[in-house]
Amino acid sequence: MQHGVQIGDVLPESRHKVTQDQIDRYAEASGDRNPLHIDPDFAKETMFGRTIAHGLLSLAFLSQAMTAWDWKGWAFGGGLDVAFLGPVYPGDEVVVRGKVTALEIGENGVIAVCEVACTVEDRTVIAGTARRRLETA
Amino acid sequence: MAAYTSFTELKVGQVFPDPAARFDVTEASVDAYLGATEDSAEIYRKKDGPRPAPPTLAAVYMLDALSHFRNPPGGIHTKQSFVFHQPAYVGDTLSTQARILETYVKKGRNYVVMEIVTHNQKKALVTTGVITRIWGKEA
Repeated sequence: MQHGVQIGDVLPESRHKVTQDQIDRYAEASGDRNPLHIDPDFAKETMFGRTIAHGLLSLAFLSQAMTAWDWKGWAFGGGLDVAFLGPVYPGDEVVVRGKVTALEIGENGVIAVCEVACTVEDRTVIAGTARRRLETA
Repeated sequence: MAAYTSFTELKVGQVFPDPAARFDVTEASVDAYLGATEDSAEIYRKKDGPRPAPPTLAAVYMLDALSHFRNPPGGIHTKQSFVFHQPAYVGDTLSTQARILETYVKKGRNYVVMEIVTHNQKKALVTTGVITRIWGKEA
């Protein structure tokens, strides 16, 4: 095993405090100006009662964790499959965690499959899997 | 023309937009994304040689394709998958098309499942993905 990754390995935990200012900046950078994210008057009439962060902003935090782990294995043949399970509100701190649960042999070599989750306090807001391609001999 | 696309207008198998949405990966677009996501990774600030964009910049360039249909305000993302075949680099021009895989109603909410495919200017596959959204309430 030359890649050095084993089932049970844990990704370094990361934490991200989300603010309305950051949500606004993400809306500008992404072009996603859904008023649910940036218009408090609109958002208070929705089931959330206030603005929420873009799910894809939290997904970017997950991508940062995978980049820190191994950029090449993430950017060349990596991937993810997640569900958005709950909202992230301005002021929340998103915690990103991951753990290797399987090593699979695919077309392009060995893939490390990680169970990943983003949580806010005791709520899971994103859950699913992320895949990193491992260097092969 | 209606301001927003009605859920009933979405048809399984529809491919859009045609031609594909084009997105120029620029220093500015990558810098804005890195700034908004507070991503400090050095690899995305590379000065010597091609500068890669974060893989999840896909969330930005896929939006250009998906905005072909105007989702009423308040719609939300429920699931997302991506495969990152190779990075997009500053200077690349990406082409993205989407295809509607499924539409369904669950608990009174309208769902649409779409596949997205992005190639670079060399026709090489950059990103594929599947997105599930709740369609916003139509007024």
